[in-house]
Amino acid sequence: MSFIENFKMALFSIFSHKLRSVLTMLGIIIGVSSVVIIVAIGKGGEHLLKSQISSSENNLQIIYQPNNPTQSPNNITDGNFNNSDINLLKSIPEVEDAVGLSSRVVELEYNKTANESTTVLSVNHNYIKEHNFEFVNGINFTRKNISSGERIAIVNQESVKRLFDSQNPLGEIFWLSGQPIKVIGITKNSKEAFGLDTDIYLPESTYKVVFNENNYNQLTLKVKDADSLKTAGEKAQKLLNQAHNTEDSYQVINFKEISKGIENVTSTMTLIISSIAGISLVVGGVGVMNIMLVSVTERTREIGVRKALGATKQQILTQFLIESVTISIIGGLLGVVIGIGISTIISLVAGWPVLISWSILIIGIIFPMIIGVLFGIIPANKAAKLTPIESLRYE
Amino acid sequence: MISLTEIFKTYQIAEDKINVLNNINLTVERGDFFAITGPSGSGKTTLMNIIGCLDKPSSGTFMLDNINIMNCNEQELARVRNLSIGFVFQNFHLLPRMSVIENIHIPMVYAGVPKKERDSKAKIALEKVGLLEKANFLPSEISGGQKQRVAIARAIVNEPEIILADEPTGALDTETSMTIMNHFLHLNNEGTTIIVVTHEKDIASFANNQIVVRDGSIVNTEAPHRKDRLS
Ligand SMILES: Nc1ncnc2c1ncn2[C@@H]1O[C@H](COP(=O)(O)OP(=O)(O)O)[C@@H](O)[C@H]1O
Ligand SMILES: [Mg+2]
Repeated sequence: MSFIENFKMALFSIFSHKLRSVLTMLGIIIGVSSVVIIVAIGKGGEHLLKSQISSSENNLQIIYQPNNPTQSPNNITDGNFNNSDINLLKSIPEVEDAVGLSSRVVELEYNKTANESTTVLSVNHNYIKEHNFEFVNGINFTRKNISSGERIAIVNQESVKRLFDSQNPLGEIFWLSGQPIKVIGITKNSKEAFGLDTDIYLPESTYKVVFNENNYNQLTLKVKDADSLKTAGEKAQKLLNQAHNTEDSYQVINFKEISKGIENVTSTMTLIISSIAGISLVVGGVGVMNIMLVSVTERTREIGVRKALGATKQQILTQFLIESVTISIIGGLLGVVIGIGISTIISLVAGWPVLISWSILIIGIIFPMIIGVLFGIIPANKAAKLTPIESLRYE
Repeated sequence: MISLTEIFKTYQIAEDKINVLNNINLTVERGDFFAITGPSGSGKTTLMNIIGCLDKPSSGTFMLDNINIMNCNEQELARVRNLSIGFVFQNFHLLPRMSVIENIHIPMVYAGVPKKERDSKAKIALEKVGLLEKANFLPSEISGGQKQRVAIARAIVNEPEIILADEPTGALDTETSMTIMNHFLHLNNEGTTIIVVTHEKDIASFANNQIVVRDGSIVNTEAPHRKDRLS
């Protein structure tokens, strides 16, 4: 007897007992869908965290920040890096580029209303290139803007709400440090996990003039080769500490390693939680076994008739085994569908991305299959072992 | 063709051993229409189940077509039941959730007959018992006599040499019983060996050979007065 024949028979039996089949599957459905949801949310959360850390750049980044403000020559918000620091770092063979950024919190004056404190960031050409600004309105800085010192700015949507009373500020003038600045672009909100959220972006040259500041308080290292990240970091740290005659005020933050750490944490968490959810899969398997045992008893006469008509032990065993595997897999697939559905709803409601990967098909098909076999073998064996005369006499 | 020698069947109930069959010696020739009669509880069904390879005797020798059934394993017995024997039971034993034609498919499924061939063979068998138009009905939608005719169609679909019928008319009225017996007679005329268990004289009279069983022993072997056979 062919597999297809057995499979058809299993489907026939499953569909002719719809309610019982659905109840049997329920445990598997709940188990699979909860594992799917947990994995999807876990992966989504991991992705979200990682994207916040490395922003839209590649993760070959190193940022230097003074470790201990009392030991450091300057305060954290002042420019700690000057141009000679940058040149020093550029001389490290593994380093491709060293880019300084400045930011500060200042009062913004607009429409003569109360002053609001805002975070202003100076941006250069590299920054523009690596942070693909998404514009909702207006335009980006040009290469010329960056160096010409024009009094222009880009603001993000969040600051439009907070600083400009939600009115479209495009073309409006606001004041920083007593100087008028015109808004030329509005971007979507950027996601930054560290440092302050930036409200307003100024061209590098403009920032220098407006705030009379030549130093940088953030420094990003771009390394030629991902493998030399660590070496370059160590060299840079040593050079800077030597140049400024400090112990370890200059520290390396290796985003790649942080990202790896987060990945470890989230995947461990996901594994732990989904193992707990996996227990419900096992409980579901016990449910399958339970109903299959009832089904075997209920169908004792059927088994007797089939044996009288020529079914072998093996064929009866296969029939019931395929039935329990089929019921488990159908339950698993329903669980996957429901899990994807609920994950999607969660992501829509919570604004948390969910990542559904192919690996859930393993959860949805392979696991239930194993469970179907493991928990189906006892009932199937019971059916196969029934003697024809006793089962024919069964009322 | 069928040869039983010194067959015993013993059941152990608690401390007691009960001999359901006591030294049965029996030969059935190819093409026989054989009746096993006797009072209720005498051991007819037990004997029938042994002949049908559904049950094994406690001791004795059972040869079927020169095969020593005593030495067969379960898989070989299943194959004998599938291909050499057709069963007809008192209470029909059709599978209730399957249509008439699907019921007739079952023996062929286990024989590994491909789907197309099964369809045509099932239709031929149904036509033989005059129920082709009921092919897609459920067993619950047809009468008792019709159910038994479906059971006969199912029994003959693998073209077995022997048909075993245990009280095939026990649940039917007299007129329907005659129809069923005429189907058996017809099959017998075509060469199939028929063994019928019954306790009704009318039914036994269809056979050309008869034994009477009492308390597990054959008490009398006789050729009953036969009704006129169908030509
Ligand atoms: N599995 C069994 N265990 C114990 N006794 C049985 C069993 N099967 C049948 N018997 C007994 O064997 C005797 C013959 O039964 P059976 O062959 O069904 O008789 P019949 O078909 O002639 O009415 C009965 O007394 C019955 O109770
Ligand atoms: Mg009986």
